[in-house]
This record gives sequence, structure tokens and C-alpha cells, in this order.
Amino acid sequence: MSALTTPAKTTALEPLVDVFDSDDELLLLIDLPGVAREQLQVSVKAETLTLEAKRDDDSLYSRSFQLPRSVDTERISVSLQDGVARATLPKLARAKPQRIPVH
Amino acid sequence: MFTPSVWSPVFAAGFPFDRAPAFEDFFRPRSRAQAQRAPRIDVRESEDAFTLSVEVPGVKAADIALEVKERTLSLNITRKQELPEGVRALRLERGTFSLSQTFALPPQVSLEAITADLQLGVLTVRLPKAALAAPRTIPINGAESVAPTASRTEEEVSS
Repeated sequence: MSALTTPAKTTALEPLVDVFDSDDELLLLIDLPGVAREQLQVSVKAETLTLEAKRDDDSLYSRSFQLPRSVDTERISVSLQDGVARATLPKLARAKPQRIPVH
Repeated sequence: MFTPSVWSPVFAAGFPFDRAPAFEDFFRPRSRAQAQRAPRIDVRESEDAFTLSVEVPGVKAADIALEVKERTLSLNITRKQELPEGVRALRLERGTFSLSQTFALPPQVSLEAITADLQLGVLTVRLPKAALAAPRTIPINGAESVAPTASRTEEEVSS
């Protein structure tokens, strides 16, 4: 083992993500190791969801997702646990599957 | 500086029926540089310790095995696929990983003092160095070492 110096990172890394779909919501799991809650910034602008984080060691994470129209952007919620962010994107009521009665 | 890249799915804004196909191209191959899939390991050395940090997002302490044997540190980590119930996977990048690595420990590492901590999806193993003894002068015993004692005794007698 020897002392290693990590080169300064100038560009942000794109974190890996899993995306799941259900009738009610989209669920995103995003790997963000080393990121504390106060270091994670989540924003929605022009139907684009962006997650950015700067860690203690100054390395950066950044990734954006264009949101489908079915997502209710007012109700997006994000939690962070064990270095994994969980973004829940509820769908608008009108986007959920509906059963149309036949008369 | 952030250089946010926008991942843009095929999404026709004026599509007559809002079928929300937005995440359809989640399966397309990725070309941009991405966070590595294998856990990243950093090793740092300071004056009093070596520090090993491993990025293991989503891994619980129970999924990590750390063992020291004959001055070798072995680390085994597995992450299982996280599949929430009742949902359909559109894109799976995170996947599973398993890491199995051994590290030969330098002689100055104090084996009993090794500690490990899992925080924010990062495993930090601290390998403290044994306290280096402060420089010490070793007196040389011999016939001449007796002389000062003898002379002091003479002074005490004369006074």
C-alpha cells in the first residue's frame, strides 16, 4: 500500500440508476455513495429532474432525467439512505390506467 | 463546475395520446462516461494510519465480511439486486456486484487496532500504525560509567 493522490475531478460523474414503473408512480434508485443529505440537491425545471451532489472529497455527481408528462412534478419526493437516493415520481391521476364501464 | 448532461428519452411533445413513453429508451446502450460499476477503492496513508475506503451504496453491514489473518486483510462484499415489488423494471444499471479482495498489510500496521465503519454507503477501514517509539539514547555500561558516581561521592565527602 502506498499513498495515493486522487487526481482532481473536473467533470461530474453520472451515477448509476435503476428505474421502475408501476401504475401509480415511477421509482428511481440512484447510487450516490459518500453523499450526505445536505449535499444532495434535487431540482425540477422545464420537466427535467436533476440530481446534483458534491461530496466531502469535492467529487461531483450529476444526472438529469427528462420527465414524462404523466409525472406530477409537484409531488416528487426524494430520500437518501446508505448512499442510495430513492426518488418517487407519482403519476397524475389522469395518467393512471382507468377502467371504463360499458353500459 | 457542474456539467449536467440531460438524459433525453424519445418523447414526442405533440403526441395525440399521452401514452407517456418517456422512459422507453432506458435500454439503449450508454456512451458517456459513467460512475464505475465495480466498487471504487481508495487507499490513503497519513502519519498515523492507512485508510481504505470502498464505495458500497445500498450495502448493509451484514453483507460485508472483513477478516485479518496472517497480516492479510480480506474483504468480501456482495450487493444483491434490489427489486421492489409490484413494479416493472425499465432500466437496470446498478445491478449486483461482488467484491473479493485481499490486501497485504505493511509491517507497521497494528492488527489489533483495525476498525471499520459503514457510513453513507462508504466502507472505511482504518489501519492504525503501531506507535513508533520515541528516539531513546541507550547508555553504554562499562567500567567508565562507574567513575562519575565515584567522583560525586568524593565531593560529598570533601564538603
